[in-house]
Amino acid sequence: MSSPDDSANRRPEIRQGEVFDVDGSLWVVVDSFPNEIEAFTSLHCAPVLAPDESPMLDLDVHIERAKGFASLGLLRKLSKPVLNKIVTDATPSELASLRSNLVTWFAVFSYDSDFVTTLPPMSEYNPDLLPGMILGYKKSLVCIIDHWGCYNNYPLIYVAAVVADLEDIGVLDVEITSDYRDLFGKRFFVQVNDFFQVEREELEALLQPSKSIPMLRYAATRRITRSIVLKFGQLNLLL
Amino acid sequence: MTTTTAEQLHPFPDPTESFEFKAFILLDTIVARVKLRVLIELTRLSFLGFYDRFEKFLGQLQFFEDDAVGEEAMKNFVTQRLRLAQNIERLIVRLEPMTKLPFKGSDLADYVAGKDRIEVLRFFIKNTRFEHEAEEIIEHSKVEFLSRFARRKLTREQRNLLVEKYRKISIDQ
Repeated sequence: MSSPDDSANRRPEIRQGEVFDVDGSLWVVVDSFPNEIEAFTSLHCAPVLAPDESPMLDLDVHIERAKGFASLGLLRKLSKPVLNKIVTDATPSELASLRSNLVTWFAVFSYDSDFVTTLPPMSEYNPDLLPGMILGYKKSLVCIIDHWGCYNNYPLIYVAAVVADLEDIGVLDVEITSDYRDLFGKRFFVQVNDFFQVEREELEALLQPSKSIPMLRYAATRRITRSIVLKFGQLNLLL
Repeated sequence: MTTTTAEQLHPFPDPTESFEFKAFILLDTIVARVKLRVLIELTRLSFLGFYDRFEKFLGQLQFFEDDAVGEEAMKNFVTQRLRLAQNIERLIVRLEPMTKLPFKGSDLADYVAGKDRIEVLRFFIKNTRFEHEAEEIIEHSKVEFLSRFARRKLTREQRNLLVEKYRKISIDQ
């Protein structure tokens, strides 16, 4: 049984949509799933910026009470202890937009239905980066998971680490062994929950005409999308 | 355009349409009332037969799903799994009364099905519901995507500003 002291010492639960002051900058929590699980020590947050600080992208969301917009193009993981000075929170409709826009940002479609045949071709300038590509980046493997960033030719791209033989497999880790194998028969996973951002140019530098790039098949990228839905979309209510 | 049909996707029949599944559904109510050893063993065998088919079915489904090339195919797989989950839910409900009947140091449900297998089936139901819900959300986001994809592209200045902000944040953190 917990004592009154325990409850006094316990940190309040951090909720999706809450805006925190971190060293003078405002950040809105965009993660939904890991908030209630202590094992997740950090959360993805979006900086709340004014229009003169950074361009507002199409999927960015105005946070009225924070007098700025959540920049979904600059998501970053912040550790829970630094999120201790709550300033305000997003309204229910802003929160709904955050969830929906994040899924839109990362969701991978196959464009196989009739009503999307009018889609323009992907970027004319840098068509090479695609979601599902696995690249060797800084002595590690990463998988591109950023559909919207690739499509819009943004200068920053979200990637997630690809790791072998994970010991503690989490709900958000997606196994890709059926698409990506090595000689030693290891199992490979994309750690969706720990995605991070890199500059497009750094990734493009890894693409060489002579080098073939492993690429996940559609089903694996769709599973990654489902994991993203679980991460941002409050589907933990079902679990 | 995807032309894959549900029949092509999995040549293995739905395990809840198997003889074993139907036999279990028939026997379980009798066993709950009359604890005849021979009936209990038949119920157990029916369950194990169904469970074996269930495991093979999931393996095959996964195999075919890995090759899916589009949303229609993925949707078909989710639909198949959802139907299977709904039928398995019936089975779980029918096992419930057996958990109250003591048998061989545990309860009848444990003897007939095994706690681990029941847990696997429960997890399958939960996971399938999640997949279904997630697919609906993704479908909605596709509409969002289509309504926004044609909007402005970033100018060179905006791109630079975004990268600058990213670098500044990277240093600050």
